[in-house]
Amino acid sequence: MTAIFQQYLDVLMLKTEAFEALRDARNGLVQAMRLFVLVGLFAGLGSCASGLRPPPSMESIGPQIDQFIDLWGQVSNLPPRETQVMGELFKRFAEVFLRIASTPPVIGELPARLLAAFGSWLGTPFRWLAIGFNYTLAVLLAAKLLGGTGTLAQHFSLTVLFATPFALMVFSFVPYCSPVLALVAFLWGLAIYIKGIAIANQLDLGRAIVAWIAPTVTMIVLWAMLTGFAFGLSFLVGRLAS
Amino acid sequence: MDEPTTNPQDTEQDDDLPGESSEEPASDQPAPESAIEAATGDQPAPEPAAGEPPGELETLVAAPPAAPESAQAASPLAPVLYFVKLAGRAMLFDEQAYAEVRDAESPILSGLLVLVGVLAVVGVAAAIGQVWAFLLTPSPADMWQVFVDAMSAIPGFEDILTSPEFADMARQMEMGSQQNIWGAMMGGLGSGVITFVFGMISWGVYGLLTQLTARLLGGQGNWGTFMGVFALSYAPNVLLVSAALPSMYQQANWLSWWLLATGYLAVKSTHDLSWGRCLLAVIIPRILIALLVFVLVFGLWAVWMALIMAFVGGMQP
Repeated sequence: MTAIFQQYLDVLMLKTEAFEALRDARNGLVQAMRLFVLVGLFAGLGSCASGLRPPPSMESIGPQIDQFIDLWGQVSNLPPRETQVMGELFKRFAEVFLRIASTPPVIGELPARLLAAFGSWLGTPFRWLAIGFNYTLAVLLAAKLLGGTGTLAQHFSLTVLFATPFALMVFSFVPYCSPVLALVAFLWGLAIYIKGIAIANQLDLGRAIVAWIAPTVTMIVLWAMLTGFAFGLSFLVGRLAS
Repeated sequence: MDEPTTNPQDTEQDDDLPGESSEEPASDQPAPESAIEAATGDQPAPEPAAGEPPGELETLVAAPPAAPESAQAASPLAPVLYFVKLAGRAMLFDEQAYAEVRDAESPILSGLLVLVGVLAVVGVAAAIGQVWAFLLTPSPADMWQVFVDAMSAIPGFEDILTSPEFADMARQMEMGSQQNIWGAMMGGLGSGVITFVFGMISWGVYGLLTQLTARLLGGQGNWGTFMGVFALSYAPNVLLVSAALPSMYQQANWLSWWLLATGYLAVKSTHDLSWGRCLLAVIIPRILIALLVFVLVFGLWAVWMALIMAFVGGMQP
């Protein structure tokens, strides 16, 4: 356990030896995934704690609904009477949905909430994998095109370390802390990610950054080309039709 | 606990296969010819020369001394454990795992054992998930009653509540609320069977298309070997066991990317193509099937719209 914790700290401190050891180990990806799952489960305790709270009641979210209705009335420029009627209708429907959401399930409310929280906690590493897996593949392709020499296993063993700072999300249940913690974890994880790309593929830092950003730039360029093509085509069709 | 080891892998500066590992096996023993040998550690008995009676050494090897009880009890599970570990290694991009299946006595049998095992586990998980979904959801009758009670308090909705359409809706909700846990279990069983069948069909279709594409790109692997190795590349589907608990389940769209990566390793292991051609061999079939689905869906929609327009046009005076 001490070795795993030391490895975790070395990765957080961006120690090159730790990255190289994972890259060169025969079971490097196993070690990295173990770290990833442990961090995910630890961070998932925060969302698990949130999930154990009972569903909101009309009393707790009433002021927020009133604020939303006032804002909507200002934006929509409706007369005050119509805004009030629409607001009342919205509150009634919100109450209906909250009452339906509070209906106890077949096995009872508390067991269902515990089970849902447990499942959500256990699924945290899955959710994290789902977020960045395809992007990591695209980064590997970019790295290979830039002359990188990493294998699939080496690349993934170092890029999944992006998740290590997200252990901070264990405190996400604290009000107003979640966005700040997420930002800090993201920036820290990004540094680890880029270092991981560089060491796994034996690239310099500049090329690693290019490999990281290339898929995003490619998608933006493709999207712009497709949008331009679609606009051009519809313009042409319109001109021909007229 | 494992210490982080530092065993440098051999990396080749090869234009075709950059950075691919070329590890030597840890021991000097030859690779096992079959999965069972790898699992049990048994080596085939050396055959005596033709015409000679078996010597003392051959006799001893052919009839090894009785193993201890614990080893005897563990041996039936050893092949199962081997395939479980093989699936895990394949999932984590261990190229040696794909090479073992490629070099096995019957690659397609080895690969199919892994595939069937994975799909069976996923099917059971899907079935369990259906039962949990039933247990974790409020009864439709209770939800309907809450809805009716709440809507009754809203001014202006009394007419809707007494309308014939609302009465039909109430009857359907009444029928829906009669589902019990046995119905959920039967539904779960069906879900599990469908998952298994679709998994096998997916392996067959993608496997054939990928093999065809790889051969067109210059690959030399034969059908049987490739289909066996490609079956191994379906190991990441085991993550779909998350369906066993509805709150844990994630949409599996992202899993297709993992399957793309393991499919790439399957092609590389069997056909020995450059990394670019291996990538094309796995991407092209997916693009073709996506296009086919798009054309079918779009075509069906166009036909449907044309029928509607013709019907509406025909009804006009």
